[in-house]
Amino acid sequence: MSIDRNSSLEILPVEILHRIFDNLDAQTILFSLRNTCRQLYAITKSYERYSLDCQSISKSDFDRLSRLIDARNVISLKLSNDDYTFNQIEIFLTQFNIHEFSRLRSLILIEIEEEYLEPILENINIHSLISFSLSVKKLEDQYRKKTAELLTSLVTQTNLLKLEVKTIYARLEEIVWPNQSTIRHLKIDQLITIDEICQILQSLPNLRILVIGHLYESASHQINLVRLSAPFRQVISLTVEYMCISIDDLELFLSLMPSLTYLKLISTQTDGHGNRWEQYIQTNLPFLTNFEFYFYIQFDYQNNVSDNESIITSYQTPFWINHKKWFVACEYSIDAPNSINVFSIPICLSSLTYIAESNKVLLSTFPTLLNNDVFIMDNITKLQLTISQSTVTNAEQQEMQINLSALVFFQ
Amino acid sequence: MATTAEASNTTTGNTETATGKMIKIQSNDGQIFEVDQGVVEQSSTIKTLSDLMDVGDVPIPLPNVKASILGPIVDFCNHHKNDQKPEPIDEDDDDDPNKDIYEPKRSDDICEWDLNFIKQFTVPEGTLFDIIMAANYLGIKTLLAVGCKTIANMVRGKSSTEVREMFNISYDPPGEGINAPNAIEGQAGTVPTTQDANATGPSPQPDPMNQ
Repeated sequence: MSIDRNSSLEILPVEILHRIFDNLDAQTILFSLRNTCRQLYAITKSYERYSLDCQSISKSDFDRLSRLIDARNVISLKLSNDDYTFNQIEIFLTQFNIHEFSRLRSLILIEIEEEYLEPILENINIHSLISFSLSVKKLEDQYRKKTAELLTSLVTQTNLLKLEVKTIYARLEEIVWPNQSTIRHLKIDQLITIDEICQILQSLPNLRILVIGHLYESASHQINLVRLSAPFRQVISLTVEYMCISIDDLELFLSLMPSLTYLKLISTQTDGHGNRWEQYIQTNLPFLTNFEFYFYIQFDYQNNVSDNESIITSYQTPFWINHKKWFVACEYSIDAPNSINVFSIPICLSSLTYIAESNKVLLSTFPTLLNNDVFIMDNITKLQLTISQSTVTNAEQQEMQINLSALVFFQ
Repeated sequence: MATTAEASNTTTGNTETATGKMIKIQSNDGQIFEVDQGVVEQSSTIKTLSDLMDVGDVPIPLPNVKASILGPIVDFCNHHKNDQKPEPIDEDDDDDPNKDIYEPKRSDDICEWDLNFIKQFTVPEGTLFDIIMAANYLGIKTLLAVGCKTIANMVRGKSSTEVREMFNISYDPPGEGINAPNAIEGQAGTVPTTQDANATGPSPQPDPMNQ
């Protein structure tokens, strides 16, 4: 708009300033913007969509926030009792009246002691929650039943669309799921078997996104429920952050989700050959458009270099290159070619431990990928690098630019 | 006198092209731009006006936008006209299954083209605010989001003093101009923001980021 006034933030109307606030954390709004002028002070007071993220906040800032913020204007709350913010949840319960968080849409509790779950969930307005995330630091048997009851009450809410649980172990089995849960996004970040997952999925007809932290084979190695189950056609996205199951069991599991458009697998003990995956996807996953994977393969025989070349060749068919445009790389050490990593490009891990050796070989189906191309690292934010003296010498001759938030060196 | 900008190759309004009917829009300083349906669809204001008015060859007047802002906006919309439309969150056929609709908004996801586009607008010239206001007036959500995220990125990590300097925010002399006691609804006379010892109401908050 053409306005001949001072070129100042103050000319923006309240609704636009509130839109700007939507992109900011509560600290920036209340510690910085609020104190700039009288007008912005008033506008921060009238703002009703505060996102209060206390995961990485100092105690003094936490205290100041508790004095400045109106709990009724908070729609997103993240509390953490991890090592950096020890006892934060206890302090939170003393400084805030939990009843006043009446409009919360998102609640994230990180590393909470189990005893604090009840005073929080029984006092906030869980009807307004559309997203809930919980990781428990310390499980105590005396709270087991209550925790399962609280979570049952939560998943029964018709507004809840997203649920994330981490390390709640047996409490997960005791949740009584409603017949027609509204949950669309579920993340279970703990050891779980295929049978247990299938049992839960039967109560989630609206689920679209499923993220599993650690899929493993049960001791009995039976997946009876899978064979009896009807397909879960509602699921279109599956991520398994780590699994240790046979390729046969994995294929059986995936066959229950024929509508998948996105699939991400990080795995050991699986078949790294593209031919098998190509045939399986064509037959069972016709809608798959995005396939990301990182396979750590340890062959139990003396794999040689030509065997590894045959693996990468299996990903060079028209299906992979032309039809799906999925590019793959594999990496191994010449000294130990039976241990090989096969992965889609760019690498789908956020954190990577890498041993830099001069005798490593990288093979790729991407036409121009060279050893020093770093776009394959696009998703990696934390890199733990073990280097030798010879690697240092080589690295000095190469220029690398990687977008990392953390880099750890070991020598 | 109105002049026609080179937003398209056609010289007459209401022209049928490969992308549909062409519409003329006119800035408040008289410049006329011809845009196709791909551009019109991105602006709820222009779309509503073109649907309501049988405009024919008559340009749609946009009295709140000057040509120096409207021209880049047409460029922005032309660049994005083939983008996939974001689906409402309740739509079942979401294109990106992993798009997390429940997380707080993030401002680090501006694409490179948009970053370069928004760089031509600055705070000292006031054009960054102009483009945001124009995007709001024209109902172009994607451009409004880029503008708001850009401001948010500029603010993040700054102290109150730095924000004041960066955005030309006045120091609110008590009782003057926009900061007159009756200028703020519901806050009249209660919130001094200077270190004036004579000011009424609670003391100003210290600037923590300056400490």
